[in-house]
Amino acid sequence: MSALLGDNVVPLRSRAPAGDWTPSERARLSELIDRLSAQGAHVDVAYGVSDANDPWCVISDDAGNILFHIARIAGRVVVHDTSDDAVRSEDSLWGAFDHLLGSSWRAGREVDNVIPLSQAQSLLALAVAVMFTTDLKAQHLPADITGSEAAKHDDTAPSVTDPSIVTDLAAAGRHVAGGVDAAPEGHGPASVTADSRDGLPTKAARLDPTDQSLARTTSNAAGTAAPSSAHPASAGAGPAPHAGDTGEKLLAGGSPGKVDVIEGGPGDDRIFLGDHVVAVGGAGHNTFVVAGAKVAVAGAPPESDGVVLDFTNLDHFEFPTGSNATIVSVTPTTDVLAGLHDLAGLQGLATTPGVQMTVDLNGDGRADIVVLVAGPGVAGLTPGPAAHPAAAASTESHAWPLEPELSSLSHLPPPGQILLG
Amino acid sequence: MPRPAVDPVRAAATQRLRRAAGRWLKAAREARGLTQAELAAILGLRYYTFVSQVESGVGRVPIESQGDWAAALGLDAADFAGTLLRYYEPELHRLLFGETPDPVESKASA
Repeated sequence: MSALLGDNVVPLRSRAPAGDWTPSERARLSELIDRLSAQGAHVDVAYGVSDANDPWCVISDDAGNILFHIARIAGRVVVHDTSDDAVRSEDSLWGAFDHLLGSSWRAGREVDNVIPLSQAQSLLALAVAVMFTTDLKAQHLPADITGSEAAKHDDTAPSVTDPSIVTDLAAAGRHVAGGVDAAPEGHGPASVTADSRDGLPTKAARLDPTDQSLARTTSNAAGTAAPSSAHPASAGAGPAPHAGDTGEKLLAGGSPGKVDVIEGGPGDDRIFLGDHVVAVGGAGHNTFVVAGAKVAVAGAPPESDGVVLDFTNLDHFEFPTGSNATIVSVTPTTDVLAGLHDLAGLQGLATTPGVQMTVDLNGDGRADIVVLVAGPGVAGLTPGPAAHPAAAASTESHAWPLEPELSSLSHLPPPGQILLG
Repeated sequence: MPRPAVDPVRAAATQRLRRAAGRWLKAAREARGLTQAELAAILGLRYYTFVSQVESGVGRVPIESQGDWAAALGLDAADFAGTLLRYYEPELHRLLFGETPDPVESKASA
């Protein structure tokens, strides 16, 4: 009987997949690395897979002292913290990081990235109301900035594929460990001293997927949003205020020099895309909300509106212009992360084939935005009206209480700052 | 006091030698017919992926356990330690034992 059950009953408890780290796990590991770096440590990271296909990750300082060895062995996450030579085994990286960083880290992350749907809806309603009010006050703003005027502003906001951004981030990013002294596994504490963790150079500019504070989102959405000065890369590179305006006209893609890695949970998530967003929807029916803050002018190439790494048949896109949106083209691409592999948070991710989907938002026949999409659901993305089942433009339960006109799309909050869980 | 900057050339050379050491360790293990997990069990390691780590050239076999590694791999402890020293501390190895060919270069030219 037990043998029969063993053959036919699927364990209810899910197990972590075998093989290399998943994109979700990579993002979580990168978050740990980012937090270490944020404390002033220059850390190196090395990834590997054992001969039994169990992945590991080693984080060390620039002196070669190993700080952490993290592995997924037989579905459990093992963490060796060399500072106290403790080895812990947990069900998931979440649990492991609770031990490493304390319980407050998760709360902080949730505040940063995930807010309850009800709160998010209220926030968005407030944000759009403020935008609407701001729009009314901006009497000198042309009614239609979808033309060259909008393009002038957009030119100041680099896209995720901007080579200068990629170069800057790659230069500022981490490098694969070299000259690392192995932690003396099982042989006493590692020689990690206070000096090895402190006093190390801080990166001048670096990708920080966790730096998406709700406070900043609120501030931006409330119309006080000059480009964030918190990030060096944003200085002088953010969207210029509209002439004669009070400088509150925030253009989408307002995080120059950064890429926000947004990861959905196991449930149904709504993830706001943008030109600096790499989204991982996770399980469930996920909605990828296209910011569409830029409308292409004649002759201009479509602007990037981010990357989706795991699009499935259960997921769909939501466009700000609803049924007016049309998928113009779906072109296979060998790597949706091309040019991004050196960025923190994306390091070590394999080449990810997918498609490049261009979308006409306003029905003028020109592709306005391009989204790079990977995952099993890309086969369902075909040119035509965005009401295609796999890429339906949702008009129900729309994120925007007011159907925004294209002229007001430039006031959307910077993409990648809110994840509705 | 600020830490001296890491010399990238030296770091690259170190990494190259560590990887060579890792390949040598892996070859020795496979010659012994052991999986990484089996070797880790013999050595009493708390997680076997440490073997994969050092075989990948990340870090190195701690000095205090090199005798155990040699025994597990069926190698002479002095030879084992000497070989690893040549990879891990080539200058010290040169001072102790005189000029020896670069293990990576000599293997490449063979």
